[in-house]
Amino acid sequence: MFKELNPILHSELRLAVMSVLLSVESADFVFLREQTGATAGNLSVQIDKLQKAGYITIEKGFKGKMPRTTCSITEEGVAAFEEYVAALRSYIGKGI
Amino acid sequence: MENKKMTAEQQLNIISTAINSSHAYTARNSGRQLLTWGYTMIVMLAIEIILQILLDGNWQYFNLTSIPLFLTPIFAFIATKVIRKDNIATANNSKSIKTLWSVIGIVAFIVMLITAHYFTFALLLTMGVLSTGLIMKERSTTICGIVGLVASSMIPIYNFVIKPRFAQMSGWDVKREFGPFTITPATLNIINQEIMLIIIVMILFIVAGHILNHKYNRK
Repeated sequence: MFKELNPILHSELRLAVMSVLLSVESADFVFLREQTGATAGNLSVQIDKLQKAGYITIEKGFKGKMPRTTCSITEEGVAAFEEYVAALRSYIGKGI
Repeated sequence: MENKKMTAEQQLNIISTAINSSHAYTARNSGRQLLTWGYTMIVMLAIEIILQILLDGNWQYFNLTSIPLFLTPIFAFIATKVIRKDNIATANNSKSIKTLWSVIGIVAFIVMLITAHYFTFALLLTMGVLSTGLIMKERSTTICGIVGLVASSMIPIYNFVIKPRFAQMSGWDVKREFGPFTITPATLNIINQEIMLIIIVMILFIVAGHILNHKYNRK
């Protein structure tokens, strides 16, 4: 039986965001936009979804006078990501 | 990035690309830190050597000639703020590495302040770079740390083998002339050790930093 893929992570942009956040302690919104190549609006919507799912935390602050949004992955997010990758590998193993 | 149907391979590709790209960014930052601290230390040591030559024999200025190296943290922090691009992502291991270097920095400061023991100072720097390489899982940095460790043995070899043998030769116990400057043996001894320290710093920080930058800029 195939493992069901987490619908929250089954999105190219959300998957990319989670992958980036997995490999850093925290990342700025600008960094996520550069790494994913997404538009600001689309990225904002997707990280909001991830936050509502409890997979990432978002901190809004200021650097000088410029607003700054910093994201970090949560433990729940790491667990969900690892489960997702395991599911993907099971698909590959079965030739899909 | 638009939502579209993806195969499992495509998704794993997205994951590995994103992770590699983030890792490259944080590694380049580490490379820049190594270079900033390395070049600052070399400049400070060079200033010390110049001061040693200019103030040779004037022992009331001895403490003055030691000041530049102690100013390294201040200038390195300033240089880091000036040179560093806006830090928009921090590596997972950055806290561990910062803690490591804070401890090493404090101990090295105390060692040089109380004993001016160049070999111990070099060993502490080597420990820092070697540990950083192991934490970051960067082979090149780890190798630079090992080479630096071997290079650090220059200092005790100089102190316990070369210097005593050279002292037996005629001319060691008198002032030597270098162009317009006359240098006492004691000052020459310090200068030689500082030159060795510069070489060790170049291996540990400059070579390691440039390798990291080159590797991840290429990627």
